[in-house]
Amino acid sequence: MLVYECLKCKKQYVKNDKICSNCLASDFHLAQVSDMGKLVTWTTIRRAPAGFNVAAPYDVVVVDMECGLRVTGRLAADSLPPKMFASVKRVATEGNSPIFSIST
Amino acid sequence: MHDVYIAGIGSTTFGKHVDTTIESLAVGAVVEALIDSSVDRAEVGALYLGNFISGPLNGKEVLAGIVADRIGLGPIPCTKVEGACASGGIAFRHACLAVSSGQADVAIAVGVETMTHASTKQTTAALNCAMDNENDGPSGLTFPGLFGLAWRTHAQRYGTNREHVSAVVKKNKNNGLLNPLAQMGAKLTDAEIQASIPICDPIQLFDCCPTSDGAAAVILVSKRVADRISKQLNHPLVQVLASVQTRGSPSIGGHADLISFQANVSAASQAYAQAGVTSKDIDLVELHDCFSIAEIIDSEDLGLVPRGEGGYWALDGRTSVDGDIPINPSGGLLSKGHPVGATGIGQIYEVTQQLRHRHKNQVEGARIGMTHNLGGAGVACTVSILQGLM
Repeated sequence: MLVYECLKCKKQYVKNDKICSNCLASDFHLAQVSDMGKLVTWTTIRRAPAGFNVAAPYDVVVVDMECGLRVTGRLAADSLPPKMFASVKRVATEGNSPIFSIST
Repeated sequence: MHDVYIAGIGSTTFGKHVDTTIESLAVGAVVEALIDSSVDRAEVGALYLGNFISGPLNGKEVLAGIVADRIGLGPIPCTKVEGACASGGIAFRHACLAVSSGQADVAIAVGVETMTHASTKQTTAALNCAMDNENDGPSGLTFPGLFGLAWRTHAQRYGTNREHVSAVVKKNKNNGLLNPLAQMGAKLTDAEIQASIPICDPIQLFDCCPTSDGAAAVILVSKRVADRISKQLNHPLVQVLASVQTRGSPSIGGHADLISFQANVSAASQAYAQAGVTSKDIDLVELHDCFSIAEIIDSEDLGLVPRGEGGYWALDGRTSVDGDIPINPSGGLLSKGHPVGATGIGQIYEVTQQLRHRHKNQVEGARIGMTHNLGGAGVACTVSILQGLM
């Protein structure tokens, strides 16, 4: 997975925020980090927000990545069912959302 | 916070007001509050209006100036403030600051929202503007979903289950039955709650507050005005001991713990210090139960219930009107309703009625009350502590 890393203080971001909130520097580079993480919690959304182009139900998950970032994403439709603290892998990005799959 | 007093309160019912414009709802609440305060409108030096989504849902902005114009206020500063669901609480705090700083002897805080005329899809989309739509929104997360995530974590860590959370729903729905302003009081059974449709597991329909229309207003006065009018009033004054606003993370990724909002914890601790009281001195609280599990989390963050025990206290009746710490005797957002921008001021209205000893769900001997209003994914929080001068 590629993340934006501040060249000055090394703080990492999922999105390019342009200015580092930690040191206010504005120089970033893309850093390759592990796709692996731990599922912290999840919910099954049964009513999607207006304009969202994925049919409900779908599982939204919060994942603590190995690099230390906590990210919100979605579980792949063909993933194994979610389980607390399961090991997960980012397998894709869809519509700016990371997509995860439960690792066996 | 010193020398700020609540002299008057006003509120519409919370519910459906489809035949009334948003500004008319606000005007109605303000006029009621002005009459209740016996203050002449010519003395009003500032007006703060809390509102979240009048733009997307009503196509109307600059509501603060419109409302002031409708009630013939002078060329005073009129400011609309927005902090999602905490907009009303923020308006109240700003009005308190205007008085405590000496900028105004009389200030109005009013909150208003109309939502029921819009479709569920329109309302959901408008409310979702309060989410971090760069980091959390793209996943398809909704606000009920946010609290579904939190519930599962609370359940995993503390064993909080459907029965615990249903105890919150039953209590608040039941409290709403006696509140004449409440949108949907009800006597519910565990079976009925359990049979309600799933929204975002484990959140079900009865775990969610309704969409609502409504307005509430408060007249705040300085000590000088309070001393002058106290004998004319047919109710006791209420003193604002503390009114605090804090910021937390706008994003899930910024919350170190998914079952505690830093903005809550910090607002509560600052408010206790400002008021010179502790959590044990609080006789009742109106807190932000936008979803049933939120009441459990908030009550723990505010230090009113030991960490992890929110569900157990609800189940044991310790948060009922006659319990150890009465939570949401008004029925809360779950039952009274949640006209977003009005909610924070509505809480002040309810606690003031309690401190005047005139509430339909009166907490016996209530002397000090607290309000708690939370916005977005925990990005904005207000906590106020009020004392009745009986």
